[in-house]
Amino acid sequence: MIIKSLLLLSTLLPSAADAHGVLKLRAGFSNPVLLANTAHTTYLKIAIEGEPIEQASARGPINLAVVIDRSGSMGGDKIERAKEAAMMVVDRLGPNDILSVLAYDDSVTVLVPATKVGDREEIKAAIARLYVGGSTALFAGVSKGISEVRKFLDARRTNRVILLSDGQANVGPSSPNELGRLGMSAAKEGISITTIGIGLGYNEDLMSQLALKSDGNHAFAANAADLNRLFDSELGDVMSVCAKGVVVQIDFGPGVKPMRALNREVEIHGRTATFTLNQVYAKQEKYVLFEVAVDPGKAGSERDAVLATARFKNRDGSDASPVKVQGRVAFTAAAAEIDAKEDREVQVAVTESIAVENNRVAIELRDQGKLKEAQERMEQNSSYVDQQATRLGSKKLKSLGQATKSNAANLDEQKWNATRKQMRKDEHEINTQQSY
Amino acid sequence: MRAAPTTQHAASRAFVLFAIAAVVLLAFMSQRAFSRSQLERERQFRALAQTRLAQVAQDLQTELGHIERDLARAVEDGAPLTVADARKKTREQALIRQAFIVDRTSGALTFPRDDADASSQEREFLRQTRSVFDGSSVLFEATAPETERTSNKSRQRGDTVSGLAAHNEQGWIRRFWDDGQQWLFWKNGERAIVGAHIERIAFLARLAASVNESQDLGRVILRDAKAAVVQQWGGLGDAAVIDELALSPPLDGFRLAYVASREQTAQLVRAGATAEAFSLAAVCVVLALGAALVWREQRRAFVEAQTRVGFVTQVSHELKTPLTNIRLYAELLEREIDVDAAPAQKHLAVITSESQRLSRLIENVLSMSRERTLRVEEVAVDAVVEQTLAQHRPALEQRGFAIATDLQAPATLRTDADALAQILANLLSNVEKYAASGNFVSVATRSDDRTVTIRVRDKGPGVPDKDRERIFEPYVRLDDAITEGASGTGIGLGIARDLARRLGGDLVCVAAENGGAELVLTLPRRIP
Repeated sequence: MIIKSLLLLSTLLPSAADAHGVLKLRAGFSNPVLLANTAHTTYLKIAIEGEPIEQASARGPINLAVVIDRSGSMGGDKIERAKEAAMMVVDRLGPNDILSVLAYDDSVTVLVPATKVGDREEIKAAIARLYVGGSTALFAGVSKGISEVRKFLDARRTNRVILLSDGQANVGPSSPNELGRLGMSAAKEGISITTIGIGLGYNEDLMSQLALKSDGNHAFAANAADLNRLFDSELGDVMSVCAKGVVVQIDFGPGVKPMRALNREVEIHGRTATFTLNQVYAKQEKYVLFEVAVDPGKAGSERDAVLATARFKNRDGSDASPVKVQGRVAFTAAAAEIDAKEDREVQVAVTESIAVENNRVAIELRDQGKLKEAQERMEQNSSYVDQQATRLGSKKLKSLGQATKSNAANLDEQKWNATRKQMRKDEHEINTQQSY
Repeated sequence: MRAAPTTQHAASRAFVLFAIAAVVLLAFMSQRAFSRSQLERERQFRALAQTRLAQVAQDLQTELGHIERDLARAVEDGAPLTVADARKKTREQALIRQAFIVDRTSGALTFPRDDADASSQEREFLRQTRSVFDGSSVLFEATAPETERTSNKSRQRGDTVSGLAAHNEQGWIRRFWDDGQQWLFWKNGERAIVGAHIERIAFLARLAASVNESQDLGRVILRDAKAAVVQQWGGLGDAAVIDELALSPPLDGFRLAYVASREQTAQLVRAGATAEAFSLAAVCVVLALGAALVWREQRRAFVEAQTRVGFVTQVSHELKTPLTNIRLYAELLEREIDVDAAPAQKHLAVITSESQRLSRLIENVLSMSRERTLRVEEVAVDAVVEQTLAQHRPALEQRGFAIATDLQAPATLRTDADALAQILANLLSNVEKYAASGNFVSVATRSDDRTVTIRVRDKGPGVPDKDRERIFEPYVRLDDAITEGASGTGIGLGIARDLARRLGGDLVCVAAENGGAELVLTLPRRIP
């Protein structure tokens, strides 16, 4: 991560970094120098990164709901590991943090109502009493989890729901689209939902949508033993939040127009784009990639292409002064200069996003039973990524290409379920730059 | 003598019949009461379901009130709303999927607009809500603000949002598209009507989370207008619908159902039935037990009475013999008195002896029927023995008994002289009746510091070991071989032992030398 950041720093335009404050905002074009007198479609990366928190003890208080699937299929090792993980959370939270623990099967039960983490043993005893049985009312679980967090909704806290599921939601609304909308609504209240799938039975589309739209993380524990590690990483993220309610507005200059965003949900009105992040973690970079149409320019001219403004709240909920960054494009007649100025880091990110998009199409094809087409698509994708990896000298792309290739070989009936879950997880990880 | 037992028998039989009839009647009445209470239970269960549904509906209504309040607050800003403000609301309000603005006077939708600036979401909203805003469909159902809701439930019809807004402060519009029922909420502002397309799922999530889980037996299910389950609370799966409740606008089309699994319902009814069956069974058992007790008591009384009747018959018979003797000898005396004085005296002695026997018998009968009070005094044992023996001597000698005495008891003993005499009399009478074959009786008295012992021994057939105790039981007479030809009540020895024990001593039967029986009376020097 640090290496990546350094690399980025060195490749971005000089004006891109804001030296003080808790956030760094950067704007970079994949090709900051373009061929003159030609209309172009290029890519813009708006990146935001949290500065390291100096004192570990200075983290903001947390308002967390842990929502555990206790449907029949969670029996045995899974539920025991889930309990362990939840108890680990209890141990890691401090007396100013708020925790609620819920479990759902046919309906939802509040095991521990939202409360300050006082008597740890009492909370753990309530978790220990958890037993399994019934179906999967995921909607009820999430709704109630959100409502528990809402009880203590406060800008000073990091508000979060961790949802654990091993099954298909089969009671209540359960389409990925609907749950995505629920996630989006939760995010508006400043609540992120992190979803963790266990085993091979959960609905990865639903879980990843819920996480994506609420700006939470999404992870996948192939076996129950991974749960502790995932909860640990999640808490690591939650505890390192350094900015909240981040709204980034990007105003494009004349002759530059955003066409679409590649990796995130972005609101585009004409030449203004806005995207929100519920929170930014210390030492983690989050970014949006835009496909941008650039009108022809004269050789030797420069254009103020973009002004990005990040408005956000500090960790303690206070309003921070906005951070701004400008991006420019230049036009040249010399083709060599274009290649020399190419921003490889942005290109790598763009390649990743395109690869993810291709893979998403491949998933759709495979879902329709078109195994062969899906495979072809992924193989093409793999060679595209490989090619880019070589051109850009990126190890990250190299491994993505290899992963795509091996996934392409695992589309048959027995392996598809696991492959699909892995692909959704990768998609989410790449699109949201998740840390784990 | 046979009429009485038969009557008693009939009485107890009648009672048992009555008890059986009572049990049958009780069972019948319980059965009726049970089926009535089953209906009652089912009715109660339905009432419970209705109460719970009404409560959940109330919870939902309350939350709806909060949501309306939040929405009203969210859409109204005071200041004239700009496009940027509206977009900010869309971006920031959890319940707002898309904000919109309608001009009050023209009724035209001023935001969002289908221009180059519109986001893809805004364009989609315009497409979906075209019929709402172009006046091509009839809109209805405005609700008064929350505070006036109860007093003003009027439903208003209007052709456009502005038409509705002319009569109301705020309201809901419902439409179906996409994932199901969609809601638009609007509120009158200064210049414009500001509204929002509600984030359906977030709206449902808030409603769903507002109802608390209950420990109810049944389950409450909330279904949307497409009958898809939104949320359920409590209970177990696979269930029969007990009751349903349709929700009021803006949640019309939504239904609450109270369900309970057949097994659970059956269990509840069974539990009640079991309890009732148990109490019924308990009543029956108690009644039957009572009947059995009465029956047994009756039987016992009957047997006892029979014994008593036999006893009385026997006593009557016993009384007849001495009386006959008295009469006979009295007649003899009458004829012989002037011939010679000596036989007259002898006959008179017989009369005396028989009358004494009669009084003894009566004494025994009285001992049976009531407890006599002891009169304790200084008693000369040997004198009492001699006196009693003298009384029996004529009868014994008449039967050919040789009488031996060996009296070595001290002068006095603190006891009841009459009781002692009665014991001795019973013992001698016993010998007279049952040991005539031995023609011998001996009476010996001994004493030490603490006790006096009186032994009455005969040379009769004796008493077998197994019967040594039994002879003291009332009405017991040993087999005919021994008692043949002898008459008796069978109470003499029993009374003798009872008296001995009341005097603080005891009476036992031991085997005598050379066969025969020996009865040993032990008395303390003082009654403790």
